[in-house]
Amino acid sequence: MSLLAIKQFSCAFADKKVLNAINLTVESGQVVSILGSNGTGKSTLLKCILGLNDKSAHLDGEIEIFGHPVQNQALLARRQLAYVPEQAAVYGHLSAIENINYFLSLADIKISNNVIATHLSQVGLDQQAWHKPCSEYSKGMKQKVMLALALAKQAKLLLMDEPNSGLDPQATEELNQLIVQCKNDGMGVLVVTHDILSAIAFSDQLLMLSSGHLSPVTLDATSLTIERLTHLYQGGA
Amino acid sequence: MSYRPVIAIMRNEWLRYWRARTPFLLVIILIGLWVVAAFSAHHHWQDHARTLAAVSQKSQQDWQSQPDRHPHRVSHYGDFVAKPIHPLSVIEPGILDQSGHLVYLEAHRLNSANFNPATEATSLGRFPLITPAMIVQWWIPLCLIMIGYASISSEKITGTLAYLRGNGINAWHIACGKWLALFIPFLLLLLIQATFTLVWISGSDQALLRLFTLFIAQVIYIAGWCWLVVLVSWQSRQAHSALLTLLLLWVCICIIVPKGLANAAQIAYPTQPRSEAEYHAEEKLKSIGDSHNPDDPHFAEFKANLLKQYGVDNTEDMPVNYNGLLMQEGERLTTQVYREQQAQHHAQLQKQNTSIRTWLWLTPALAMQYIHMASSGNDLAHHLAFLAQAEDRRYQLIQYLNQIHTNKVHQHDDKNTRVSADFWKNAPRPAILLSHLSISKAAIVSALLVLLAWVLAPLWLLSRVIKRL
Repeated sequence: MSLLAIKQFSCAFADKKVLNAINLTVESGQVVSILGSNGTGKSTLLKCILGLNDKSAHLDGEIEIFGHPVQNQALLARRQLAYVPEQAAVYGHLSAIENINYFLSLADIKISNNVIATHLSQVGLDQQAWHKPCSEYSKGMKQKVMLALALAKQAKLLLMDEPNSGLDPQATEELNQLIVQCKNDGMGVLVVTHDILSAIAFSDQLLMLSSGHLSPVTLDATSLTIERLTHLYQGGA
Repeated sequence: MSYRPVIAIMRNEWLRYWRARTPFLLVIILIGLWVVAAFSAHHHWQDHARTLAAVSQKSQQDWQSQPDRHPHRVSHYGDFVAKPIHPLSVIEPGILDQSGHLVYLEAHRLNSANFNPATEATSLGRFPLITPAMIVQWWIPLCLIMIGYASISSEKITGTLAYLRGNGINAWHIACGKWLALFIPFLLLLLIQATFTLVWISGSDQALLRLFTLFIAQVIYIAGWCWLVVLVSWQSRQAHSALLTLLLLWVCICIIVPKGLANAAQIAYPTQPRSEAEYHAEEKLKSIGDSHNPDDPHFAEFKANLLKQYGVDNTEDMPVNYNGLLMQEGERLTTQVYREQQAQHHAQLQKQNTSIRTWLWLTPALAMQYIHMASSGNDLAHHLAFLAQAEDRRYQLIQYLNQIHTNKVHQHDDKNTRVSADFWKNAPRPAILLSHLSISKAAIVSALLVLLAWVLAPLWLLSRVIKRL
């Protein structure tokens, strides 16, 4: 059974079709990246996967997470994945450990601070920062907390929305390595991103969302040119 | 619905308050203000109570120590009656300060506290005295707004709301957790106030019923404000727009609408000024009958009937004092006219009140004020009942004195006759009692219904917007 299976999924607002007959699967130990220019519906697709789409949207097709249809069992489906939004969503008044403890308590998961510390070490967050309020963290540090949380939650499926946005090259590289590490640990990862180089670095499958259609693309970091990228983003193969 | 996430969200919110310091400081300031309000209102109440006790005692002593004298002099000697004040007046003095709490009763005179506008019942002009009722009605909602306006909107900005929702946290868990974080501290404060109040009022008239009504209404009112804060915070994209919306609602609900309703009621159903009412009463009395005018048709007929009744040709031959009978008839007519005037005035006040109650659903703050005033015995209904009791007492006493005048004073030597002081000592002066709370039943029921709607409306609206991120 696929961790995430999207079959012939379409989404329309009034007369405008944003997503058109999308098919996609994410398996265990696989990283799938979705590229696309602004406004092509990448975030809409993520919201639909999470069951958080606008209620005025007209949906067609199926989205299943661990076999649970999202349309009918959104809460059940969402509980089994870890979602990392574009904006690192941590509470500024809590420390890294407190944030993870809090989010886990909401999911009714109890683990010791030692285990949390192990995950924070795993994502490479400086130990001195663990007990500081997250309002003092950089965006990269906050992303690490979110990843440590995903690890602590032992989620099998990780959804990431623009994880590298706003990160410096070093933080981007560290995050890319963490995504690869998650993949190696058997996690399935779906990434929505603009960062093509990073996507090439960690993805098993690259998909381009354009004009509502999702199509596979083959890219090689060494042969990327502006003309080739422009062509791709305009819907070319 | 599992309660664990709700509790976790509530505790996290408290931690945010604690670490942000400002919400905590706001609550401390509010408690300080509350204590000051309680002490000043208590001091004010004690002043009232002391004055009432002293005046009542002095009035009683003076009345009892009157020497043998003419009964008509006694009827103009007068009698003070004090309005019974419930100890809950410490929470809400209501119209007490405007209506007065002492009434001087004497013959042929209008009751001195009769003519006050009903708009005082909703008056917001009592700024000088901060009362515990005001704290609940105005300052707690303001404090709730300051503390909670960003409770959801800030989570939208930081992305934590999207994260929570995206990770399978039920939207109602989030809303309830935020609501409880706001509500529970203030519920505790209300409970503390209720406990102190219970000790303070124990043994008074209907202490438990009055306090229970007050407490339940306060709890519902604050619960409604907490839901409104959560709703607006959820609906707003930015924290500052949530704050502005909530402040605007506060100004409308607590100040503009109550004041507007009171003014509109006064314009729609105006009451006569006292001087005008007295002038009309005098005019009507003259048209009904003037006992000093020998040609007055009413008193001419009255005299003729008496002469016929006693079978005499001259009032001097009557076995009773004609002047006493004249006094009785004069008092009857005067009272009838004044009571008609009073009934018209009270009907106008009731119309004002009914008009305000019709629009009560626009503002739960006014509904809360109605319950504050009713349960503390300081609303219009209690005041009118007090005036009615005072007027009954006045009429009974004056007519008793007029009967003594009629039966015990020889009309041949009317002006020089002195009657035994024992008559004054045994005069009917029934005690004035605080009315039962049920006298304000209509106001309480409509206000409670408004408060219930006040809780349910934001909940319903929240159910419409809660799915949005």
